[in-house]
Amino acid sequence: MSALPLPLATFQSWMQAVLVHPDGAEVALQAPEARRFVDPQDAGDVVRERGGLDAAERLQIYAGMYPLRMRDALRSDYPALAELLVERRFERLVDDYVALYPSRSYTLARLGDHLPDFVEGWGSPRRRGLLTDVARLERAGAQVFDADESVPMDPEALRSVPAALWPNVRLRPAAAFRLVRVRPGAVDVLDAVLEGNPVPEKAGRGRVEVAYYRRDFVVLRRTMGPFDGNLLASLAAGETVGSALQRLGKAFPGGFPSGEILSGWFAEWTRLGLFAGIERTGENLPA
Amino acid sequence: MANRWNLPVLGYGIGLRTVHFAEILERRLAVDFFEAITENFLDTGGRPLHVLDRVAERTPVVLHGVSLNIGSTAPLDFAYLGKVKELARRVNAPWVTDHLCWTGVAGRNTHDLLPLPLNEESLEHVAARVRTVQDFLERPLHLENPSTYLELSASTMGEAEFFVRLTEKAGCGLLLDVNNVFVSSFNHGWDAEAYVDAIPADRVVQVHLAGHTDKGTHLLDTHSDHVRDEVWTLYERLVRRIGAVTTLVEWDADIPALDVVHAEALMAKDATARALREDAPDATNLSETVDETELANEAVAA
Repeated sequence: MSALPLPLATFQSWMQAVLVHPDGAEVALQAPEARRFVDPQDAGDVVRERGGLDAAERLQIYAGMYPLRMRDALRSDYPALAELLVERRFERLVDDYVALYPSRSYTLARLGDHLPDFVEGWGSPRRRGLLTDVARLERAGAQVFDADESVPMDPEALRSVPAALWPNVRLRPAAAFRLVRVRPGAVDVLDAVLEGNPVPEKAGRGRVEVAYYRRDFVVLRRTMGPFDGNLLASLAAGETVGSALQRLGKAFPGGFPSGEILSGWFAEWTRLGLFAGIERTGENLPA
Repeated sequence: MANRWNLPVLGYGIGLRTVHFAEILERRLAVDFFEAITENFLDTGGRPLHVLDRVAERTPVVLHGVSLNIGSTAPLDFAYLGKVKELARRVNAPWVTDHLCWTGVAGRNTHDLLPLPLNEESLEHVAARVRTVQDFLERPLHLENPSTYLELSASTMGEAEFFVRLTEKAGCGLLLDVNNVFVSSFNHGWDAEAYVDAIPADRVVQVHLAGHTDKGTHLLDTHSDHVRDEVWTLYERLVRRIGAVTTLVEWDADIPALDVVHAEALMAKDATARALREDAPDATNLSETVDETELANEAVAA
C-alpha cells in the first residue's frame, strides 16, 4: 500500500516515471521506477477513474504524447536522417536516444545535441558512417541557423597585417560558421534526400570539409577542396597561420599552393564572413 | 472592466510562427499584437530573433512560455529566467505568461504541461514560486489554465477556485484559455459555464482561443483547427461579463495561411462586439469599449 495522498514531490516523480517509460503507462505502472513511489494497485487512488477510462488509460494520454513530441522535435532538426532511416527505424532511433539523452533543457532545440555521436554507435554497422555524417551536417546547419550574429572581419584588416606577423596570427571564427569533416557522399545524400531525389548508394572514400555559414540569416553550405579544406580546418580549430601552413605542407608535400592562391583563399573566406577577427598571441588586431 | 493591474487591452492577436515569418515582415498585416513562444527565441541569434525584433518595433509582443515549470518541486531555473527577463526587456513585453503546470523533475523536461493536484500544498508551493518569479522578472507574470486529461484524487478544490485563490495569494493574473476550459470540462465532467463565471473579471489579463480534436474518449488540445462553436459561445459568455479583453487565437499544428489565422482572430473581435451589443442597453457602450481598446493599443505601441 502507498501512503496516500502523495506529497507533491512524490506524485511528480511517480507520474514522470510513468509517462517517460518506453512501453506505455500500463507497463510503466508495474516497473520499478514507478513502483518506488506508488504500488501499482493504488494507481486508481491517485488518478481518478472517470468517463470509462481507468488510471492507466488516463496516464497513457500523456505517455502516448511524450514520444511523439520527441520524434517531432528531432525530425524537425534532422529531416534527412529521418528520411534515410524511414519512419519506423527513425522512431526506434529517437526512442533509444531519448532513453539515454532525455531533454534537460527548457528548449527542445537542444534535444538533438548528442544525436550524431549516438548514431555513430547505433544500428547496422554498414550504414552507420554515412548516417552519422548526414546527422553531423544537419546539426552544423542547425547550429549556424541559431548562432549569434557577428560582425564579419573587414577585408582591409586582413590586408593590413604586416607579412612578418602572419605566422603568429590566428583568425577568430564567426559565431555562424561551422566546418564539418564527412565522407564525400554524405553531402550528395543530404542533397538528394532534401530534394526528394533517389539517394546515391555509395558514400565515397576519404573525407571532405564542408563549411556552413550564414548570410542575411540564410544558412549556406560549401564543400571545400582538399587543400583549402585542410588549411581552413586548422585555422577554424584555432591554429596560427604559420602552424596551419606547416600542417598543409606535411599533408600535401608536393603541392603547396602559391602565395597568390593562399591570398585568394583568405580573401574568399573573409568575403563569406567565416571569420570575425584577427588575433595575435595576447592581443587583438583591428577587425 | 479593467484588470486590476491596469494592463492595456491589446486587441486581437495571433501567434508569431516560423511559417509566417516572411509574410509577416513583407506584408505588415495590421495585427493588433503578436504572442511569441518564449523558448523559441531564447537561444537563437539568428532569423527568429531578427524577425521578433522587427515585429516588436511596430506591434506589441507578449511572451508565452512553456518551460517555466512553476508547479514543479524542482528548483526554479534562474539561468532560464534570466534569459526570459532579457527577452521581455528586448521586446518590451507588457507581460509574460506561462502555464499552471509542471513540466518535469530531477533535471528532466518532458515538454508537456502536466497537471497538479489542486490542493493547499500545491497552492502554497505555486504561489511562493510565482512571487519569486515576478520579483526576478520585474514585470507581471500571469498563468494559463492548461488542458488536462486526468484528475487527481488529492485535489480538494476545483480548478477555477484554485486559480481565484492563486491570483489572490501570488498577485498574478490569469491567462484564461477558453478552449482549455472547454476541453478540461469535457474530459472531467466539469461545468464549463460555471468555470468561466467563477473567474473574477479583474483577474483576467488575456484570453486564448484555439481548436481542439475529438479523440472519442476525450478531447485533445491540438491547436490544429478553427475554434469550435461551443468555445465561441463560452468566449462570448465571458466577454459579456468582463468586457473586451486581450485575445489571442493559437494555431500550432497544420498551420494555415496567415490570413486564415488572422481572420480567426478577427472573429474574436466580432464575437466581442456581438457579446457586448447583446449586453449593452444601447450602441454607445460598445463604441466606448472599442475606443478604449484602440487607445490602449496606441499607448502600448508608443
